[in-house]
Amino acid sequence: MNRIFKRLASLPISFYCLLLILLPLVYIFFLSFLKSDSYGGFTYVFTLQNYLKLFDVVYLKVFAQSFFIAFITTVICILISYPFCLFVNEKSKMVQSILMTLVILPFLTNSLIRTYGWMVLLRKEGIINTILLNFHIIKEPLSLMYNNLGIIIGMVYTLLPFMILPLYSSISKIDPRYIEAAKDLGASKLTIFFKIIVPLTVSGLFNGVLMVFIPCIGYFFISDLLGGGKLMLLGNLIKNQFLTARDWPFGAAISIALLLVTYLLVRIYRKSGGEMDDLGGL
Amino acid sequence: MQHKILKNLFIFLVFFFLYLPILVLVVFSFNTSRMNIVFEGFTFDWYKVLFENRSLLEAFKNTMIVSLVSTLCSTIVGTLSAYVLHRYNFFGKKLIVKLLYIPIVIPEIVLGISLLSIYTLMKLDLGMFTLILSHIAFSIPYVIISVKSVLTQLNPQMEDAAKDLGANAFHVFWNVILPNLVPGIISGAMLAFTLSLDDVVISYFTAGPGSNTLPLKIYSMIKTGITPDVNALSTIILVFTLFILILVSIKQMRKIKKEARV
Amino acid sequence: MESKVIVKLENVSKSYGTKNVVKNFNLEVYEGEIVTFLGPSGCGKTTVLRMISGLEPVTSGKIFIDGKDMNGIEAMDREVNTIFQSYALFPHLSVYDNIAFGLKMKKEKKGNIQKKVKEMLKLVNLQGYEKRLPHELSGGEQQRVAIARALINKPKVLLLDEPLSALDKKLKKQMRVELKELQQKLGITFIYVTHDQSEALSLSDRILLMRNGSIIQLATPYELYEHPKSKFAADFIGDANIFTGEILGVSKGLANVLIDDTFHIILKDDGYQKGESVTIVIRPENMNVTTVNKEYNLLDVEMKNYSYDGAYYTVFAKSSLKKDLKLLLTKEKFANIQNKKIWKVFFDFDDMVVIRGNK
Repeated sequence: MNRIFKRLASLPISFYCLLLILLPLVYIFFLSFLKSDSYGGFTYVFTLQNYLKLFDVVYLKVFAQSFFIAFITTVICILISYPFCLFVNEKSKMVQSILMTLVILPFLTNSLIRTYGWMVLLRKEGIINTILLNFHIIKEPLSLMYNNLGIIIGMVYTLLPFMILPLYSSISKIDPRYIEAAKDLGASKLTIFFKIIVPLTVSGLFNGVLMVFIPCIGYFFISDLLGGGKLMLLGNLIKNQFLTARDWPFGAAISIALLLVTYLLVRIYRKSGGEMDDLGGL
Repeated sequence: MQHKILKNLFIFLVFFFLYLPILVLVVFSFNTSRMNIVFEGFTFDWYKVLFENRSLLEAFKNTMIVSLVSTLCSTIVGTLSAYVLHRYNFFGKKLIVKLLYIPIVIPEIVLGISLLSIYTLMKLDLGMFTLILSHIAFSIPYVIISVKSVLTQLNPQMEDAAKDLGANAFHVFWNVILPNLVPGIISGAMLAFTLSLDDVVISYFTAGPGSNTLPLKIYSMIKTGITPDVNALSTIILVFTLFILILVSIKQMRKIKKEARV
Repeated sequence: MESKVIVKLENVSKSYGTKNVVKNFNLEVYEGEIVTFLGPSGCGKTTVLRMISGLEPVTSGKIFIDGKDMNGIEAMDREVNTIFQSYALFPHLSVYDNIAFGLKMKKEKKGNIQKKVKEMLKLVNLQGYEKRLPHELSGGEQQRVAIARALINKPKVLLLDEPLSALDKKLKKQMRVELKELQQKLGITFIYVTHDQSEALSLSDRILLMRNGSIIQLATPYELYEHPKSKFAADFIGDANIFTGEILGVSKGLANVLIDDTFHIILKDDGYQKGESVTIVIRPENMNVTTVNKEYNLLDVEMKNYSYDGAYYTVFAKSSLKKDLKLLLTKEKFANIQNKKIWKVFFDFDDMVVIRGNK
């Protein structure tokens, strides 16, 4: 009886890991070495062509653009999140829990709908431009979207909670006596921040970096809608390979490259003392 | 004092940023104008239009089905698995524990295309089934982590006590462990539900033509022209989730108060 | 003893990897007695208990409960129950449901369960507590629920794993008495694990002293205290002055032992060999202050410091020996020496326990 329970209970997780995690990734890895044919399929011929293609200037540019956008987004998220979390942390426990719930709340309306909200705001004839024009602050409507600015606004907006949540969780764990002790010893606010708060929250920070940087590379819909499809990100490139160009092996190779970057970031996160479990603890 | 005002202002600005696009949608759902530019007058018309917009409602229904079913499945599997991984040793466990973090850390787009590839490999028709399966795939690890955090705090002797009193493995799990996991299960389920509602990327690759969900429907509408009844629907979803959240927060606040008293 | 053997361990061993935590354990526990496993933490006593309960499999050897070989029989099917160190009450179940748990698992009839739980609540003096949850109870009350929850199953043996360690000192003493009374009333065999020697001495019929997974001595509390068979036993149970020395020679029924190269102790001969090393144990209360001149076993000492606990004085004294002496003196005896600089201690034959060899 006890053995049967153990066997049965471990079946779902085994099947899940095998069929929905391991198999898809192994298959993508396998695909990335195949030769694509002109009909959107592939032939079972081993080739490194897909990986070599990654070093083509066109694609290197896509990599560079994606990382640039992801980098800027991550930095902005950090700059907003640190003060935000520190200020929220000074509130009473009840207010803190309400504010943090309010941070998660927007997730419940789909991120695409919220991105659409930004389109309404940022368009040439959108709300922001209309207001600014009516108040005669500007004479010509600003180009707030269909460019890098639009993409970055959308990315920061969508991913900010993923930086705030882990950072807040590690800031709220700091023993306030450390800060008091530092003040007592005559440390300035800046010293307290850089010498005490940052080192104690470094794993929360890297957790946030991981949760912002990586999705940023893949969120094709934001660059589609707010970038106007002008700027190609890795996400768009992969999407196109799978749905439009139908060059699956090449798409698979880009994905593997992306996984490699992810793996590096995870290693850095682990080195900073981060626990894997905290990554899922939104 | 001035410091405090500045700090509160900063907090307010961040929330203003987070809620601005949502606010816009809510306000314009009551706008008489078809264009989302200037507020011309108050009307409920778009709500009426919404209830006649079959395809939008259908998309909403599909979204709810996908989110609810995938949350239910991933909560059940995730809870059981968290316990199994915590309690037992079996062949392949070490590998499984490592694999579980993959859906959390890898870019959603990679998970999306790799699931799409094996569905094609297995000759599964894309549709509601593959969509739900994909949502289950990315939610399970979150449920497991959430349940695990409660599991590790349970008194390990409790399980021994149950066995000692004649409980078999199933009864230990069902009568003793499971009731004590409820807080972890609820937060895991909420997480799964939230992630499922929010998802665009994975749905984009794994939904078939017949299974239009809200994000996909809106994605295509944005390209062909969006109507304010979408605003109305967004508003309804927002009010509905706010309602649930307020219920949960009230419960949580009661708990904080109770703990403060003890 | 005429009683029947209720638990028997035959060459039981337990190892985790290459680490042997229990080594070749042999033990017979008789029906109705309280046997205590006593030893420092990490000596394997809890592991032995867990092997008896079935929560831990044996690596080798056999365990019999009421004559039945327990090999392959899981915890849920063994007729023993355990009181856990943390009580391990089910936090989501009421006192009633906690106590009823075992019977529910056995699928007893509801009416029966109700009747038995009521009896148990009366036994442990918790009538009216049925609906409370564990976190609403005090430590002592939780302890009693744990006892009731175990006893309701009518176990052949009750296993208690440091059951009093979470209670404060006063409650501990009270529960000690309650446990002993309960045991006498019900006549159930107790196997009791503790690292607290005073608990073991006051509670047990027999004490099994353990160290590093092996049995050091199995004896009644009196035997163990008065006649420890090893230095470890003498040291672990109660206070003791312990001297190690070498037999210099034997003549006329007396043996001469040299301690620390300076002090000779004369013992009654017990077939000692010249050169044999012996350990001499004297309890602090058996250290005699004397004014009478004896021919041997007299040691000049000087008071170093003392403490007073209300009934006795504990005196630490310097001598030519390396280690300080510890004496437990009545008020009268203490008054005699209080103002003397040097005084004498006499080692009587009957007060010395001799342990042969270097154990």
